[in-house]
Amino acid sequence: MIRYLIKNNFKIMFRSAVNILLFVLCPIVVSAVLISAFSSLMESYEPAEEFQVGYRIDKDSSYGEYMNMLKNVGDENGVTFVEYDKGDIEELIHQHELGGFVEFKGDSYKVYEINDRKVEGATLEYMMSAFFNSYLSGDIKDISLNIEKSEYAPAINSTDYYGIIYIVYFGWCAIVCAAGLFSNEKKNRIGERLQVSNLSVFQIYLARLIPIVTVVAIGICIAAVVSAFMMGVHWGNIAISVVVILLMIIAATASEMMIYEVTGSMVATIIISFGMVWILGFIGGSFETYMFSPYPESLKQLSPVYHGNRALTELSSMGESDYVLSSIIYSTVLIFVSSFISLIAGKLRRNGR
Amino acid sequence: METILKTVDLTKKYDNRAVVDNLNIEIKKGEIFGLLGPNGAGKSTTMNMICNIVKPDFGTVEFMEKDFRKNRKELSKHLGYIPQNLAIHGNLKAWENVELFTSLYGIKGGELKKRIDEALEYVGLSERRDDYAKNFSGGMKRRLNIACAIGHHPDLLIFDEPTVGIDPQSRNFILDKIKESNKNGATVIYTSHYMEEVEAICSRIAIMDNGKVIASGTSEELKKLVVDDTESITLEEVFLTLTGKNLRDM
Repeated sequence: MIRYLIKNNFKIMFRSAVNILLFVLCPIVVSAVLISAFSSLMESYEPAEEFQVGYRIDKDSSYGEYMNMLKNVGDENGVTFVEYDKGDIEELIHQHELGGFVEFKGDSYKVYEINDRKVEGATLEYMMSAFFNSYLSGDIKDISLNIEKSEYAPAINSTDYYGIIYIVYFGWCAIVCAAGLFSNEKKNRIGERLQVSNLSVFQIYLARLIPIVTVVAIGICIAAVVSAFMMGVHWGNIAISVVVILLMIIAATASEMMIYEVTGSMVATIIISFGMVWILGFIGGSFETYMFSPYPESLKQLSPVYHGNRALTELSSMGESDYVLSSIIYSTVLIFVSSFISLIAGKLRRNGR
Repeated sequence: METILKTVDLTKKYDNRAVVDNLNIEIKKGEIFGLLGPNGAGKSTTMNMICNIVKPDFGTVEFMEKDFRKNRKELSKHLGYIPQNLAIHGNLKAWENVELFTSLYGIKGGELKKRIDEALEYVGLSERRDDYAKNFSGGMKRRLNIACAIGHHPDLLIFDEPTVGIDPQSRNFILDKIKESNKNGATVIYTSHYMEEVEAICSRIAIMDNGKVIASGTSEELKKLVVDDTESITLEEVFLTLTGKNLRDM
């Protein structure tokens, strides 16, 4: 029964020039500008060359027995461990131009990283983690293979980064797509006409959600294809990227429709949604690359934009990402929670009048 | 005559003020029932409660001998609502608007196409079927508004001030079509501020004020409530006598 309603809502949105502008042209133009502006910054974010790492180990540290093995693995991967049993660690780092420092005390170790040598810091951290994880799992033979990933883990250029990030960002602005439809429905009280028919709150909800998602997905898809061909953006695993993006668009639409159902005002919805997306993007790598972002990891993890950005950029640079699953879970939870609240609000609005 | 719609003690309050107060009206099958009242009399709230848009605080609407609220899935398809607002989409073509609203009642495929053609023909918009509604004149939009409500062939048509802001030709066309629909078997509830329209087409009229029906009957019967010589008075004068001449700033 809602097939025709979905079809016509889709036509209304698809015929709007604003939607073409926002979901096709804007991602392409904005990413093109940022790719060009930040290309030199991203060039510095390249694989680390060989470097030295200092270390200090207590006599009673339980890590003593692994040190030779760790040094060998480090040598194989261009990381030379040099022991310093005396002196202030920060001074030693500067004096000897070390790429990092590891302090082993008792059952724990602490990795010192240097602000202007982030790549070396990330490589060291990755290597330490990979070494001890492999050791604990008894897979010590494969350590060198695991560590090799660190060579390309941080490597993503500005073209791929901004080409992907702005597809995600504009996908999160999905509600704009329905602004004209919702405003017209409200102004001309079309909702009352829908209410007179025997459509349920759920059917009306679906008849709005499905066309919004479809129009935004088509727009974003065109933008992604154009940016891939014109700017050379690499998407890595396309099938998984499509799933991540599609779920994010549904989550964005559902959460912004929830705001509309609760506030009942399109202006308020646009202001709240844009504010929300801007903040989530700000901590999630939409403006400042998440690799260089000064925000704590725990704060970044709160942003669904961060999970999406990280999953897609890692898929692009590494072909796989641990963030694919978290992004999918985050989006799915958002879809269900937002839809539930929207339906409750819609039902209360209908019954309460 | 068989009753098609009945309100029983229908009540709605806003901020503790009764906008509709224990309203009891009965609409007979096949009649054109006019509902008159000054601004704020409770007409629109009554219409909205009848159409299930607003939930009553008390009382029920019995439609086709069943509680409408409890049986809305079954009964909605028998009701056609033409709101005062132009509840159409400007960015859709005329036929697409009719398709959208007619399909809400479960009509699809070839039957839906037939109903769209019929509805557009009925309101004289067949030749403009492929034009966007935003390019229509006020009168054409009003006619399209009607076409969107009749495609599913309802038994009861509710017109809420359908002739506001249009030229005499369009108004005359709409009134003729209401009479034609009634002749074809539809029962009509009609509200308007134009007394001559109500007098011309309604078989029975109720005048509402302060949420209550203060008088009802045929045009002649209403006039007799005020004077014996019914030819010396218009329905508007009756209305003003019964509801007063004070402005209603609602």
